[in-house]
Amino acid sequence: MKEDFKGHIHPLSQVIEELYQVFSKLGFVVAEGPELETEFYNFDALNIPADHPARDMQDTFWVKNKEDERLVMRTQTSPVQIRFMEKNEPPLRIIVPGKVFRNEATDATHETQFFQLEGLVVDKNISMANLKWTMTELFKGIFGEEVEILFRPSYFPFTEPSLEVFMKWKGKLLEMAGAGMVHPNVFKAAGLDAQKWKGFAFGLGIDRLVMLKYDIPDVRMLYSADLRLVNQF
Amino acid sequence: MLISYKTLQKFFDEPLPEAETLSELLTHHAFEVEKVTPIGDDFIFDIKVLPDRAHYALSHRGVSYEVAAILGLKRNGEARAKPAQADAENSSLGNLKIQISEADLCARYMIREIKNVTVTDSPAWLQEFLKSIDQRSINNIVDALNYIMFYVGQPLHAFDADKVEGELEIRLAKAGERITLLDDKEIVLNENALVIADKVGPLAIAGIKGGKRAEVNAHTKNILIEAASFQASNVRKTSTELNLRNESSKRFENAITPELAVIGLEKVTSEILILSPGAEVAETIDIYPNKAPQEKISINPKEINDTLGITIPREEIIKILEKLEIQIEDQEEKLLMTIPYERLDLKSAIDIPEEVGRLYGFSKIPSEALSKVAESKNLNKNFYYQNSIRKILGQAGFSEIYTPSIVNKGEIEIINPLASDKKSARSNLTDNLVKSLQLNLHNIELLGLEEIKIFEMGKVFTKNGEFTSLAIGVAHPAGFKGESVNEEIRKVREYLLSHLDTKIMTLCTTDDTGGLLMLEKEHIGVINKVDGIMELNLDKLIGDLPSPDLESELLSDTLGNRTSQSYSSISIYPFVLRDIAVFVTGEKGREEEVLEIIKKEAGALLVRARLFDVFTKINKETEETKTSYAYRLVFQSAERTLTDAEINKIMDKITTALNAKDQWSVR
Repeated sequence: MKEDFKGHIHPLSQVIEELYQVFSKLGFVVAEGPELETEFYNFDALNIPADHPARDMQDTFWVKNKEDERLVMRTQTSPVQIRFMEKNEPPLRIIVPGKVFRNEATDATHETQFFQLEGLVVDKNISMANLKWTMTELFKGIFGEEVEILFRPSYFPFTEPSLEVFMKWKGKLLEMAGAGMVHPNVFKAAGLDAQKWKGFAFGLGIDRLVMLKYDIPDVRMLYSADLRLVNQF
Repeated sequence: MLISYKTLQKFFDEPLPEAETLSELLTHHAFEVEKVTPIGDDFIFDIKVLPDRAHYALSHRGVSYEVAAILGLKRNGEARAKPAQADAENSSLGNLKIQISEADLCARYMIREIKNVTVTDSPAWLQEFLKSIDQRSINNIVDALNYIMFYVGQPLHAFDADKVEGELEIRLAKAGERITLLDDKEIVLNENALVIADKVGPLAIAGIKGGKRAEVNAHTKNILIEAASFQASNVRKTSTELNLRNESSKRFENAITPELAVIGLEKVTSEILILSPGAEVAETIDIYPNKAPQEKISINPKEINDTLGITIPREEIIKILEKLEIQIEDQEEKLLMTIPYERLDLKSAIDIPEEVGRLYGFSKIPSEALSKVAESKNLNKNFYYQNSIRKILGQAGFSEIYTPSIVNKGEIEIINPLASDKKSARSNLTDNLVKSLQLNLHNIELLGLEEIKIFEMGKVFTKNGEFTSLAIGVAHPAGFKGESVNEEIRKVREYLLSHLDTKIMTLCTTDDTGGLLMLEKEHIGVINKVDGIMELNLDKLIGDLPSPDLESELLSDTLGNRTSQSYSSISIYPFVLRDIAVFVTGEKGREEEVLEIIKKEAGALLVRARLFDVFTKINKETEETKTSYAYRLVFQSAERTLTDAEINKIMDKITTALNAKDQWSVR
């Protein structure tokens, strides 16, 4: 195994590995789930009922299915929160790197597929101050010590309070992640006692992280299979 | 949603901060102002109201509520309902008759007859206001309805009273029932659609769109104004099914309080009485059997602070909540809150910390470390081995690609594809890999490679479920001298499997022109079914491997060789190839010297130079030794397509410079 490294690993994989290095030191484990997901895990269990305007926040690819249950190409990695909590007792610390899908026209900053990193912490005493610390560790780990983290109000059906995480970096203010405290309905859907446990969750676009870190102008290039890009890394 | 700064000011007696400042404050404490556009002496805010605040904030009045809370201002009387005419309230002459047959779908129905209206153009200020928020002006009556919807958030509708026949009924449509809409489109309704009907048939689809039959037009004299409260999910369902989503349906589907109906009705009445002098209120009916309850929530301020991770004093929490027009009863431990009707998003104690936190300022939340735990020893096996395999393949000279999961052909079909050639989830990686090999083969000289070696790892979707697949491919350019692509696949396969503790067996033809990968008795992959490509079920391969070794070298290595810290852009213009070979007297070893001259003469357009042939020749007669160095040169510009003429010129320069050296000669 000592030969020269002649091939190239895609920058998405490299950044996912870096994220893993940051989080494994903090005691997080990697969790995973299907990309072809049920309507229940992708929406209902995450406090996004049918016929609710929150469904419009994510344009969804619906998939033909013989069974009664409707299937989607998962629009977020958040369903893995539910799947993991169903099988594991808190305290929990997980990250979920994975591909997600949105049914929207593509351009330089939008792709129908991209990678997300989901994070979930469940414990007895968890607050938004812990979330702030975790976000700071995350972005300092990837972008260096000169990073400052700011919160702004937002809305996600599966967190309350919800917020947008901004990063001050190289004189710019960049929207980096969505986050919040786990909504009790999500604990209930996963069979956990919402009185007993608290938690926070976050989700960020890994593609955007890669684009910022390496100054790549167009997200579509990441899926073009073009070695003119990959072999630079 | 577009909001006029000038119109927002109407809700306050004090002057508001400048538009930019106000927009910043809203973004930090309530919702994102995506853009501020100056129009005339006004500024238009484009505000992104998310579904939680859409109950109350999709109007100027709603935004004024947030402005008041953030700035600690009191709103003036504009925010409340004032009777438009002293004797108008509850005046019932008994002429209007309404029946609600679907009480669950219509919590409140107010209707008011206004007589002797003159339908004409709107005044300039109203036309300008509507234009500034991207709305069309129709006539003074319709414009008044729209204006008030954007002003206070209550959707309103008007019928021509003289065209309504008999009693009004709010009921579900009958199967196959039709309605012709204002835009002359005829629509067939299904039985879930709620309609406002008279004895002839539907006059409007509730909360969504009015019909042609009772349209208000230039001949209209008497009108019926509707201010109602229709059930959110029913409006959403019907408007989605009929593909009729508009500003009215948007507000109803987000659920608004029935209390807003009276505000909307009084405001629009006042407006119509101004816009149409001589008009008079005749009769009002308000069917509101179950008054909306005002939510009461009890919370201990400690719960708020525990969630936020900060200690805000009790008095300050009370002050913040009162700014949101929440009435507080300070009990011993807890605060008993009475929530404003509009705030349908505040349903329990869970919803309160965000309100306090955002107005206090989320940015003031400190950073507090998670409790220390040992670095996780619970390694995810798939994640570990996938990255290990990436490293092994990288060491074998393969580059990793990612390709789209949504493709033209596959076993799993998308119901609502984005494009006709993207209608399935991929069933294998090979199809995309074939294309990728071709793409990269085309650029092989630019890449400076002798062959293309790539792999992809990713989910594929089959009738039997999804799994992670691994595909590895090799492609050679024409005239490649060396082992066949199939032979190279054999080598990388053996290299990969030798680094993994696997029981995988290969069943192959002797010349490796095709084969299968077997795990126990299960077939988990194919080899060279397409020449130079193998694909296997990675989940099966990894499933059979031993648990990850925490001390493994694979784990400690970082991924990749990190040659680059930032990306250099790829030129979109074609590249040009030229070969040049030069004889240099003497033995081998002077390729660097040759290259240096080439680079110097070629300048910035030379993006790559590859030494592809070197040989030494001894002249038997003179015993002179000379060595030939052949370079392949790749030229490309980031700004334009290069012409043959300019490349020829550069090649001439290089040739001249090489020939100028003593005992060098270009072949």
